[in-house]
Amino acid sequence: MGTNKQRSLEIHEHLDFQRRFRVFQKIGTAALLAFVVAAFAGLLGSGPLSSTGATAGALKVDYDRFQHRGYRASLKFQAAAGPGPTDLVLHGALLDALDITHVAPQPEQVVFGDEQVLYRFAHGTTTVHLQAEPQRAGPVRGRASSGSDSLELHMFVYP
Amino acid sequence: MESVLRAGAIYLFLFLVFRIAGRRPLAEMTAFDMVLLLVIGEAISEAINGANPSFTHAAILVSTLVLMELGFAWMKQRSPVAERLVDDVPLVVVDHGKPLKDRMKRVHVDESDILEAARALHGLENMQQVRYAVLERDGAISVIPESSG
Repeated sequence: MGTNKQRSLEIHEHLDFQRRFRVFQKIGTAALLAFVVAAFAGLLGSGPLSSTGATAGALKVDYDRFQHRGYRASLKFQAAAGPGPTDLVLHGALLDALDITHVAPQPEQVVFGDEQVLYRFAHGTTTVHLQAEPQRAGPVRGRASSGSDSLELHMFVYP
Repeated sequence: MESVLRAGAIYLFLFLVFRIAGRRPLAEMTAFDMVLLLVIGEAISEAINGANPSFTHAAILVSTLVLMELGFAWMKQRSPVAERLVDDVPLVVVDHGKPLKDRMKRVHVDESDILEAARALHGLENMQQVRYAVLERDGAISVIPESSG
């Protein structure tokens, strides 16, 4: 069915199949367009719809909620400057999911604890930039704290 | 196991994207198409060999490039001006055995290029046997022999 043999030219055109396949191509092109538009908007990585943040007391974080596995992610923490050094603690799942590659400014001390890492910065530090590489795909729910302020971060890492 | 899954996913993704793109885009293999395929290959190879292990990142790159190619093909189909801008236009460089020197100089084609095409395509021996030689849009020279038609 749908096979045409045209005169002496032995060719199987399968015109019915070709017609159906054109429909598939149109749907596929629309899907590709939606995929690229979603990526541009930030639903598949960094972009306007990906930027998010969380605040708890004086602690604030800005980050992209959608990340790619193995690609650098940036997190910007802001904390109040207290009378002593500024502490930033990353907890549990965040450490499992992210490989912290760079911390700025340079912490004076890094203390590895049970399911947490404490970064201690010089007195007066209010802004800390972390760069990290997500290590596994899927949802990531982590926690960060500074002093008595504690906030949750929610990310999704694409494979 | 992850390597197998990764390679399989990339194979299926590329298969789907190139089936969606259809036969015409990337089929003519102009210099630009070749560069585009190299760029796609590079994006994919990073995802396959794990240098940049994000499949999503590679998929976005490939989808964007293929979609742009489809977009240009769509524009060319609807606008002769766009077609000229994107694909260039053919140019006659030999007319009834007479090389059109000004045109040949403009497009960096010399007589030996034309004679080579004439020998390869039709076994012609000299310029007098060439009715027309045309520099085609993809840069190839096509030859119509004096005896044809």
